[in-house]
Amino acid sequence: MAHPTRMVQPAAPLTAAGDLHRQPTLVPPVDVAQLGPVLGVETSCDETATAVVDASGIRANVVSSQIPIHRRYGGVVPEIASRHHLELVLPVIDTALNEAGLTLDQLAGVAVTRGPGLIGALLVGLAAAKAVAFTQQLPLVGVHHSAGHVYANFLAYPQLQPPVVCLIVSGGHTELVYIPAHGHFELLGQTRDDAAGEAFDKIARVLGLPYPGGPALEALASSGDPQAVHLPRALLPETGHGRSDPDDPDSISLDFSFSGLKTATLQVLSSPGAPSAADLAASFQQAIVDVCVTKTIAAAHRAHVHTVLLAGGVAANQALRQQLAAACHEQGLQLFAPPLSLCTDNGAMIAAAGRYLLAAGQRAGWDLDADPNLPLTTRWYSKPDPST
Amino acid sequence: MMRSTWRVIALDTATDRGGVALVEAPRAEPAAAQVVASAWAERGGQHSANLLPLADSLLAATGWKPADLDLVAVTTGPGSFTGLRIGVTTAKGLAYGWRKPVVPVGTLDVLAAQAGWSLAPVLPGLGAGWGEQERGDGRFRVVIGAALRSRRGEFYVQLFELPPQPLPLALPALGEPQVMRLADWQAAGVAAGESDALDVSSSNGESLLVMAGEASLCRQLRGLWPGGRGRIGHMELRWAGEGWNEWDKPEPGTVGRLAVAQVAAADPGGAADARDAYSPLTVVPRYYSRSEV
Ligand SMILES: Nc1ncnc2c1ncn2[C@@H]1O[C@H](COP(=O)(O)OP(=O)(O)O)[C@@H](O)[C@H]1O
Ligand SMILES: [Mg+2]
Repeated sequence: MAHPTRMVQPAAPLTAAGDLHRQPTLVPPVDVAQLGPVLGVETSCDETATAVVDASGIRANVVSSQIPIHRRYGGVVPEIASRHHLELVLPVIDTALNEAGLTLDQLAGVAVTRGPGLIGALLVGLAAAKAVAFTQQLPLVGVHHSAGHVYANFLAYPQLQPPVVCLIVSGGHTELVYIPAHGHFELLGQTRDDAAGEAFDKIARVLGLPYPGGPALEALASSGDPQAVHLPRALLPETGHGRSDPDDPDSISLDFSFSGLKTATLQVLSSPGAPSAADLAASFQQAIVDVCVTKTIAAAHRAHVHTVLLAGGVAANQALRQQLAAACHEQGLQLFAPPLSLCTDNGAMIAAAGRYLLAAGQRAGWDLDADPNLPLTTRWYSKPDPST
Repeated sequence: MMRSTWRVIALDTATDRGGVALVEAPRAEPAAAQVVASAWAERGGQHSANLLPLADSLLAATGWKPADLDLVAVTTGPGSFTGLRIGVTTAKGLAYGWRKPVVPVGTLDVLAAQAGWSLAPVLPGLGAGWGEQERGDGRFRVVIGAALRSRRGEFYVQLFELPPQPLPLALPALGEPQVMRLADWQAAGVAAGESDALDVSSSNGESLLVMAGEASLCRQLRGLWPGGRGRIGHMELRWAGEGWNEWDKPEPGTVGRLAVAQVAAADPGGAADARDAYSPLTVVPRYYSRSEV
């Protein structure tokens, strides 16, 4: 080789990393209906999902599910999930753009789930979303995963407007939130132990059903008698009330607890003369549905809203949808639940939530990071200061 | 019109140090690749937050435009699984958006190349040249063992040949990276010369195995090597010690230079033809884990 390699001294770091961490910024808000197409990226658990959503709705919605891969292990294996997300995320971004007939530079922004979820899984979606946004200098926002579930409703029903109360029931969450305005979440109640979907999954596993347990348990329950086995419903008394009275909504805490129900169900299973699996599944499902319905109606009354939303993976459950709809109807409340395709994790719901954040003027920095325990009820954005 | 140089943006987040470099190389003379700018942060837990701001600041400081770039280079392993995924996914996303190829670079190749540059001026001072140069009673072969700690008390090691001067940009590897425990290393040392994994023998006598990488690991590995003289005669194990091996961690600048070397070797005509081989849709990390997970 003609030219001997010279030693190159490493350049000193240009900037201390601490200085690079820009604060999220606000730009003047625009009407969400004026906003161009937004790419949504979701990798918090076992679906690698992307979508393009514009003012007219979903332009593309691509979900590459890893469920068949994780089924072998009976649950999500984080390292395996992260590896699959890495392999899939750019191809599904590419597919979504192709289906939407758009190129990256035609987007008005990129929205990505930044928490909560599996940290390694979140980091992959975040790295991909940030990098593609960076290449075109597109506006970027981080979205709370549960907020995405809630916004599946605003995506599916464009006429829907806050204020609303939403029951979020998923594999990792059981929450009642009050949404006074777009992007604002006030926590009314949450689970003290298992999430509803988690309870479904655990009982499904002991019944020998495949992962994910929720849909399998619902299918089994459809041939069972929901009144066959008596199981406890933990209504929990509200602070200041000695006990909870089902007829007095104010006496009922809006928090949830499913561990007692889980234990009781396991006891029935192991006791002599156990009922049929279908009867037990139906009774277990009914107990969860009863608690969710009672507390959601109580929450709607306390928040003085007329509209109730259902969101999250468990919102795909037909018994919950039908019985909550009936109870809302009886109380003069309007219930919205996303179509089944938008109940489980998808990129469209993240793009939909992201659109409201982008329209409100929120912009994340390139240092946007994952937060596996991101709280829902911190304000997503503060109102722009009118003096500036 | 094609510029007369290659321009590379290189990312590395394989270890606790995470950084970005911009590298430029004459197409006619890839070995003269130079690091134009480089920056890194020594905080492993913050690669996700640091990486793009570092890239942003380097591009701004140099005035390089995305259109000027020919390649996106990234260390693909071994290394921290999460770190590799952040670097590789970021590289894929950048390359996808800019329509450039992704060039995967081995982390241990980077350590070995850096050790080679460190050793070049020092080895004659040790009383010998290297390669085919005479040293006392015989010929003297230098092998570089690049090592990197993994979690769970294991480490990765890969051997490289240090060929005679002038040094090439990338050192030729002697086999693939291995995942080892300390006991494996000790056993390999005893069997050195017989096992394929650690064949550092020379045809007629003396070899020098120089460990490259994090000082504490290299010191430990040196201590476990069975004596200065193994079954292959006058083999000696040294550690490229503190003070003269300043490059004990991978540097993004080296990643960029090795990417140039790789593409130049694979594609003497220019980077354009490299696109299919290095598609951002298909490049993945190399985990080198013992078990699947
Ligand atoms: N039809 C159903 N009935 C009950 N649970 C369901 C149904 N469909 C899905 N689930 C449950 O929803 C959860 C998955 O929802 P998802 O929104 O992906 O959860 P998370 O995002 O919190 O991980 C799983 O626990 C699954 O069992
Ligand atoms: Mg979900």
